[in-house]
Amino acid sequence: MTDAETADRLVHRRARMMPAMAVIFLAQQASYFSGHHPGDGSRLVDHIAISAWPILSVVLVIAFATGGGWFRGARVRALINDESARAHRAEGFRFGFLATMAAAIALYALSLFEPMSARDAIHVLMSAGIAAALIRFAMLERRALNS
Amino acid sequence: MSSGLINFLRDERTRLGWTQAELAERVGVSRKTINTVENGVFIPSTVLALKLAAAIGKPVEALFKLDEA
Repeated sequence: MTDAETADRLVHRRARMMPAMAVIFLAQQASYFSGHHPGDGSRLVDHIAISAWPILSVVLVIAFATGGGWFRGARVRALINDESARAHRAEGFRFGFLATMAAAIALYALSLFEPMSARDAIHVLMSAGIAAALIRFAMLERRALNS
Repeated sequence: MSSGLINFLRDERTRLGWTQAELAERVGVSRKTINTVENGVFIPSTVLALKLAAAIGKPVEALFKLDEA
């Protein structure tokens, strides 16, 4: 398989995976806010629950920012992150930023009526920003692939 | 992203008998990018437009023009 064919396959896979990862990420937040908060961190399961979310967040942010293909050659990485992919990523960043700001304003209004912990607020802000960026990027990539 | 630019990339590419993948290979971008440029979904940078023109063997004005309608 040539580099171009490999890149084409990875671009299709990325366009399919990004929305799926966004849904998994949001589902994890739904679980967090459903009332089953990790404990005080003294048990092993609490450590796992508390650390899983920031680890997944960091992985998703790095995957989105770099475009993936970490274990591929430089030429394949260049092809999957070419000009249109970079433009779509920039649009994803813009959407993510706007979603984060909208969530921040909503949290500010909510905090006037309901006290909220910093951890909960961070969950909401990061969920909104990361999910919006991933979904917007994937939408643009899928539209480009299907046009 | 598609406003204001008409392109003749598909016409010129097919005139040469190239596939999108072949043109993409010559220019160093993905086939997706060639597809989106041809369909007017994505407006290429000046650098990419010049690379496309060089690969096709025509001046960039022969591939792209402003939609003045």
